[in-house]
Formats: sequence, C-alpha cells, structure tokens
Amino acid sequence: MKKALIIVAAVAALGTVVFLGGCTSAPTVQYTDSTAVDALSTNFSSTDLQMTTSSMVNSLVTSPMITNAYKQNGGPMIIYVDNIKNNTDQHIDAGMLSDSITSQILNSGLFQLVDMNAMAAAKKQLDFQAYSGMVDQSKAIQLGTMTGAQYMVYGNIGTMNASNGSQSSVFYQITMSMMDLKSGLIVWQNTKQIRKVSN
Amino acid sequence: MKLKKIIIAVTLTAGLVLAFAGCATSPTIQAGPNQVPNQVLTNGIKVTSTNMTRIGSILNGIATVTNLSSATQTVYYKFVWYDANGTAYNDQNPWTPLQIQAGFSQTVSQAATTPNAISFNVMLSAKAN
Repeated sequence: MKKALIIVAAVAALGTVVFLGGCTSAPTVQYTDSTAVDALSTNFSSTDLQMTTSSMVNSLVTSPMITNAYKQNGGPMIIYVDNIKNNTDQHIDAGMLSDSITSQILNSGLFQLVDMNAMAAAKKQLDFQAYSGMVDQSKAIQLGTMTGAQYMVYGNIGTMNASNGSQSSVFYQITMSMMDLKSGLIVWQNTKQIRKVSN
Repeated sequence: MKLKKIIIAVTLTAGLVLAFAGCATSPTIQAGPNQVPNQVLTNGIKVTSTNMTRIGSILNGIATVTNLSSATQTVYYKFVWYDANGTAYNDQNPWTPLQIQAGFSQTVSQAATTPNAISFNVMLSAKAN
C-alpha cells in the first residue's frame, strides 16, 4: 500500500514537472526594421531620435547660410560637435543623438569633423610618438599640425509634461545651433518639436 | 446569343476593373521625382505631386500629400535616396508620422545627405510600420 502511494506521488510529481515545463515557452526574439515607428511610450524613443536627426540634418545642409559659407570656404568646413545637453527628467543618451547627426552631416560632404572626445587618446598617442624614444622620428607625426574647428555645433533637449489623470502628454523641444568660432555669431539654428500623448 | 452574353459580361468586368484601377486603394504607396502613382491609401491619402530641387551640392526631394477623406488622417512617410547605380542608402531615415486634416494637403521634403544622390523614392503607409 505504501509502495503504491509512493508510485502515485512520484507519477504526480513527474506529471506536474512535465505540465509546468510544457507551459514554459522560450521568449521569441526577432529582428525588425530599425526605422519602424516606436510608439510604445511617451519617453524619447528611437523614432524621436531618428526624426530629430533627419530634421536637423535636413535643415543644416539646406540652410542658405551654410551653403554660402561652404562656397566661401572653398571646401568642407571644419566643425566640432559639442555634447547635447539633456535638460529633461528622462535618461536620454544625448551622445547617440549627436553621433547620429554627426554621421549624417559628414556624409553630406559639406563638413569635416574634429572629435574632441577622442582627443585625449590621440594626444596620448602623439606624445608617445614624440617623447617615448621608441618611434622613428622620420615617420612620427609631428605635433602642432592638427586643424582647428571653424564652427561649433551644440544643442539641448527640454520637455514639458502635462497630465489630467487618465491622459498624459510630453512635449519635447530639441534645439541645435552652429556658432562661427571666429565671429561668435550663430550661423544656423533649428528647433524640432515633438508632442506625444498617452491615454 | 450565348456568345453575345459572354462578350457583354467580359466587357462589363473589364470596365469595372479599369474603373477601380483608376482609384485603386493600397496600404502603401511609392512615388519618385515627377512620378506620381494614381493610387490612394486605404485612409484616403494620395501623393499629388513630387519634385526635386538642388540646394548647393545637395538634392532636396519634395512631395505633396493630400487627404481626400472627410476626417483627419495620420500617414507615415519615408524618403529613400539612390545613387547612379541605383543603390539605396540613407536607410536610417525614419518612418515619420504626419497628420493631415480632411481635405488639406501638406508638403514633406528631405535632403539627400550625400552629394552622390541622384534620385529618391518617398514611401507612404497608412499604418505605422
């Protein structure tokens, strides 16, 4: 009798394990279009980043001031892209936004870029070439030959939030500017506004 | 007599097909420079004109989109640029939502971010992709 109970218990336990195991399904992962509309929440999304990039680059490369400056310069202008300030209460990787904009404006052929974020590493390498005594000086890159930026691009992101209990909205405003470092004048500025509502 | 009936039926069917083809509805539409398809999106949105202008060394694609329906509609559009080999690039352009009021038209434009661009397609979709 006791043996029969043990067998019944064992079969029941095994059945439970098999049953629960059958209920567990592996999460499905699939690749989707990275440019598809992401409207999962009112947070700053990939669509917002891509729309902002598109709007900024569009405005910059078609700006009459920039077209004239390119002509006067006789070739690509040297720019430095400063960090975009995140003035919102969200965690927004503003570096992604500036990287995305930088990639596209470089492709336009109107600009060449000075990357201040990589400058510390570059200086370390140049110091190594100049001072370590390990590099053939006839092949070492000489100090003081870098090109300085003519223009600086910078910007900020801000938000306004509103809610009435059942509905909430977030208004984003992204502003970017380009300053002529010689004159201090703003030669280009554009604002992208995005409003998202959640029910 | 039977042949006459068949001819009438075939003619009527062909006529109906042609009539619907003239205002065919589609979930997506693709238009190029000066190539405006005679299609209407399922939500009543139509491309009414396209154009391409040059600003300095950069080409700018323009499309006028019209809402033929009697309600405000949201449409999603995306520009794709092509080089002389027909290779598409700039494919990180987003599907961008655009809201158009009933009976109104809006112009959307986008610059090619490379001087190698020679042509574009603007794609419209009634649904978010």
